[in-house]
Amino acid sequence: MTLLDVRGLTIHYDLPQGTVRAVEDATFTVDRGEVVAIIGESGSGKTTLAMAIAGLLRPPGRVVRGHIYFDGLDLSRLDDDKWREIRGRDITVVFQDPNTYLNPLMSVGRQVAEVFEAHGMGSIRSREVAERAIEILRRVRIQDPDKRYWSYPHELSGGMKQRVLIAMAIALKPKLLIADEPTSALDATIQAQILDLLEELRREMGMSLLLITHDLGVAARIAHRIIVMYAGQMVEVGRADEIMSDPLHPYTRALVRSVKLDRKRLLGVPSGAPPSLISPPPGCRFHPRCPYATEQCTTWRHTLYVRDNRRVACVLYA
Amino acid sequence: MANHIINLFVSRAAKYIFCVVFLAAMVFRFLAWRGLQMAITIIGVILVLFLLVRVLPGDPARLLAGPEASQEDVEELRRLLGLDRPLHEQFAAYFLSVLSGDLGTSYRTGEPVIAEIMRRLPYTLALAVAAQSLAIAVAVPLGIVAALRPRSMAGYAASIFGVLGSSLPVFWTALLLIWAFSVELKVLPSGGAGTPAHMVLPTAVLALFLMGNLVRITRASLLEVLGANHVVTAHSKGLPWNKVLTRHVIRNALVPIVTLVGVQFGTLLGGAVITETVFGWPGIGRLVVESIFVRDYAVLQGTILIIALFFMLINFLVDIVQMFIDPRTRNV
Ligand SMILES: Nc1ncnc2c1ncn2[C@@H]1O[C@H](COP(=O)(O)OP(=O)(O)O)[C@@H](O)[C@H]1O
Ligand SMILES: [Mg+2]
Repeated sequence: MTLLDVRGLTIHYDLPQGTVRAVEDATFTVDRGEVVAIIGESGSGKTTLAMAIAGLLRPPGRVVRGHIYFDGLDLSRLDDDKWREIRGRDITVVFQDPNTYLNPLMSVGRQVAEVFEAHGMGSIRSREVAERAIEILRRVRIQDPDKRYWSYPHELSGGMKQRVLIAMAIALKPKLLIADEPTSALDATIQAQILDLLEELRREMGMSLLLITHDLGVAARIAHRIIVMYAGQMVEVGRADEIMSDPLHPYTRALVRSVKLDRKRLLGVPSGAPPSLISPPPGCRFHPRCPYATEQCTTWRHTLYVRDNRRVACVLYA
Repeated sequence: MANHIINLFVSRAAKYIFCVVFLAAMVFRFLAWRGLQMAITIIGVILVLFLLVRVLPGDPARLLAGPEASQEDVEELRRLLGLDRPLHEQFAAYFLSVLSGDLGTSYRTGEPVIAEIMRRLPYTLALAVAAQSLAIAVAVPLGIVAALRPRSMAGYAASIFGVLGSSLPVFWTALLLIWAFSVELKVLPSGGAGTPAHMVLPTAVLALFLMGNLVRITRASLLEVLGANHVVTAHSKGLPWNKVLTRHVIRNALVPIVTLVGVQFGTLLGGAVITETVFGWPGIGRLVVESIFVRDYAVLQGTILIIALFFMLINFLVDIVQMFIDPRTRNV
């Protein structure tokens, strides 16, 4: 059963120095209860895509084309009031940097309690709401939740703050949780704990998880399917196990190889930053770094070719 | 279930007791620390004032007695003030008399300095409170609207205030307003004190001056917070816009605004020298000017000491307010 259906989504940032084509023609689905990972280097448009799905895209960002269907609703046609009902209840987000995504001046318990208030379950001053918030803090394994309720963000560690953000995101048992690099700001041991917690909560609540990460290792651990993005475009989509065992796109191959050898840097492709999205390379955007690039690649038009269970955007598979 | 509720209650009671004790300990530590800081500052200020009269060219007894005193009076004063004794003894004596509230005697009026200051203080206080309140009441809402709707009337008004308010010289706006309201329209007195009407023009002039910076800080601070990540989180919860604004934007934007208001108010309490002079307003600022012109050093010393005390007091209050707003400033 499809929960999220993204079709041809194209998002630009209009800046004085030019248009940033942050996301081009993103098309994919997420089923109920499914974990889909979006992976790609930083700057490949992952956060932009996530924000658009959660209705949080801010100017100069703008959806240029495409549709997002969620649970039968066309999200691009929603008015503000309807969006407010969905945000925090049906679609929630865990952000990348727990240090800046919490309000430093408000106790963390109240910030969780606000979710209940926002969806008509009483004021954050009410006892019931406070007790619910404490329950949720317990649920994300925060020790002494009734004491922590009154803590301020600066009194908590990064991992704890991320748990607080997760608490907000699961408070109302959402249908879709979008986790945007939920562990990249944390150290390795905490990363694993947070990932396990997310996966456990997802299973208990039966929600779908859209996990955004630049770390293929993280994606392989809990995702059912993986979407690989490069420079604002999807380059490969497939089942996680298949992608890990048999990557098709040259970029995916490099990613998989470096994960398997536990290297931080991409193997097999020249290092270098992903291209500017204001004036991306013509043809395949990966061709300047691709070991298999030919003349053809400079004029090729981005297309996802279907191959068994897989979709891949490379002329090798045309 | 009953057990659970009792547990909850006990833990709540324990929590409150814990909180109260903890808070009291923190407040005590804070006060002790700040008290020490302020004491040191006050000693420093008194020392500087003490030395000031002694390093100024001329004879301190002559300076303190005033230019018109006879030689015998000066000698008398020298002995009275102990100016013939060693410096550290003199300082101890001066320090103790200041602590006991004795700021010396004005040579001009023969009255205790403290009495003169107390007579002027209400005027300065009234003007400062009125001007600062007016400035806050206009500038803060204007700055907020300007940040939210830069292309609205308020947005343009804020830009104009922001540029003009603090860059037009006070004497110029004062003269302009006197010309308009006293000379042409003849609706307000051009100077003096006594009726509420006398306060209108000086208040307006000062408020206008304060508003410039206040509008700009408010607008800039709000814009900064509006772009902060925690605001995105607030939206992601589905929180209505008015709650995002009051809880997550305006409150956070207050920190620099409160700091500026503290500085502005502290400055006003030191006497708005130009405004008080132009409007003949009998406040602290004019007292400073007058005592300089007639070399009434005892009055000058006393007034500066009071101004310094006010500055410290305001700083202290600002810190307390910041502690209420921002929990990160609560551990000293
Ligand atoms: N607010 C913004 N204004 C302008 N450009 C932006 C903004 N946010 C992101 N971008 C640009 O969009 C592109 C994609 O960024 P982003 O979605 O953050 O990628 P990722 O999350 O994969 O690192 C980048 O080139 C980035 O510079
Ligand atoms: Mg990102």
